[in-house]
Amino acid sequence: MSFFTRRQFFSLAASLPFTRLLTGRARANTHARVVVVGGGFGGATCAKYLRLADPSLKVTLVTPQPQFITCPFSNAALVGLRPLASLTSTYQRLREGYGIQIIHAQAQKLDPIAQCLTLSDGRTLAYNKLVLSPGVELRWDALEGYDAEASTVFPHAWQAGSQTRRLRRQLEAMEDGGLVVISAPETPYRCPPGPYERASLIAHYLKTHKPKSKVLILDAKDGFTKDRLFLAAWKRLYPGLLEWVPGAQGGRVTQVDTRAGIVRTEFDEYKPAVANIIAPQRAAAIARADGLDAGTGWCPVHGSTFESRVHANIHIIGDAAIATPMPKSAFSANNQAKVCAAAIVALLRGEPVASPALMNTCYSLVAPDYGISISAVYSVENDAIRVVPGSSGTSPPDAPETTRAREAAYARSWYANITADTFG
Amino acid sequence: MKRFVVLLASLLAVPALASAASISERGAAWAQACAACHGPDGQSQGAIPALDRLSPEDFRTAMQAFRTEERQGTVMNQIAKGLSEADIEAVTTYFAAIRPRRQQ
Repeated sequence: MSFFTRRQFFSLAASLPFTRLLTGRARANTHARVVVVGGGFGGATCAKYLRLADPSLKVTLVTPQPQFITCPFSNAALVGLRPLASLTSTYQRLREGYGIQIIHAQAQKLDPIAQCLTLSDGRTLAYNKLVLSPGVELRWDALEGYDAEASTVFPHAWQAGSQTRRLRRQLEAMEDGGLVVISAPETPYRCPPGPYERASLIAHYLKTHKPKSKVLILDAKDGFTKDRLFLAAWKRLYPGLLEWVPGAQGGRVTQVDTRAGIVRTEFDEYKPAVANIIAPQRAAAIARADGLDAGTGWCPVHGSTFESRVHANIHIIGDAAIATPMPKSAFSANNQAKVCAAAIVALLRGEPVASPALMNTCYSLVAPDYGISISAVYSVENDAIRVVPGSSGTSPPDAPETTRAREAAYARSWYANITADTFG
Repeated sequence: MKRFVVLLASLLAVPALASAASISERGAAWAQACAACHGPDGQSQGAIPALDRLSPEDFRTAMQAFRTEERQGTVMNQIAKGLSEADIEAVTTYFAAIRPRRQQ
């Protein structure tokens, strides 16, 4: 089977970065089969950069849906700042521009010895290298009273799409004066600043449309990423409208009762008009198959290659992987995907794996024109990921409004650029 | 041919810290990381500055100024401190190499 049309070949050649030209070395074509599971920021990026690094690779991307709705900016969609349609990408460009085979199915079973993967449509795919980037799943066993059915009443909205729409409808239907409760989980979970950006933007929506209402964050933790910046902004923008209850002050949610409409903490009971339960999470099922998570819920990987520490020839990137201190962010997934793609091509060629270029930046919107950020650069020492000293930090905490407006504009620009890099 | 000469010239200008080939791979790896914010090959959409049109001198100067806090940025002070001198040279060379192509 020919993986390339003539048009695809020239289109790909034109989009190749100068890497190959600059290095000038004749490169062995490996013609290997790589299967990538998960069409988000990790998987889509990895499939694309594998083909850029070695156009002889046969790359198959397995992802359930023909469209991908991003979690980044879904908090903005939640409060009507932009339509969900504007957060939707397809795989057309990856298929037509990069010659990636796209299969819409669930990856169900893997055989790490025979090196094959079975899909929900009955197909079995053989691979030389497998990349798993399936993201997270909500744990329905972690919080009393909270399961898939309960999430239709108290949405988590932690996977963008129907859950986002559901929570949006509830916020719109709520009467002025209502209480919105957001429950934030213990670390690790997808998008560490996400619950706080969400609380901020809901507060912005309420301030504008339903000013007698209130947002309450019930948190299992006593601190969170960018907390200094968030807390300062809340004091200024949303006084009396947004309250954060840390774990030490009884913030941990211990039980929900969707029938009675009640959210319980250790000491208190709330009856909110809208409850958003961001439940504890773990790596999606396929990344926990065959002991890939070593029983912990998340997947241990080698720092330079993102190859599983449990099974050879399986690489795990994005939210499912343990890449601490890198956060579970879209940026991390996109970045790890490139490092992983380069490592896979080097391994297939029998070449040494280069030291990885790892970094992360997370923007959060506190209001439409008020952005904050955190970033870091990482190195790998003794197979473990470390923050490069001095490279980790937030944007200035006491910055003027012009800086905050600039960061909000940067956040929007970041979204356009990372989605172009991933899906375009 | 002209483009090739420009390319060759930019490669020869690289300090002899390592072989040109390894510096370029390093440069490409960092440039790929930059792409998440600055767009593929530095072609940014929106407010984040594009990198593909910066001269190598301006690129290097900006990175050094962020590194020493001489210039106040938002995320770039942190990022620049995470890159070594050799990394900055490598990524400067990478963007210098793609610049002639973008300006055609």
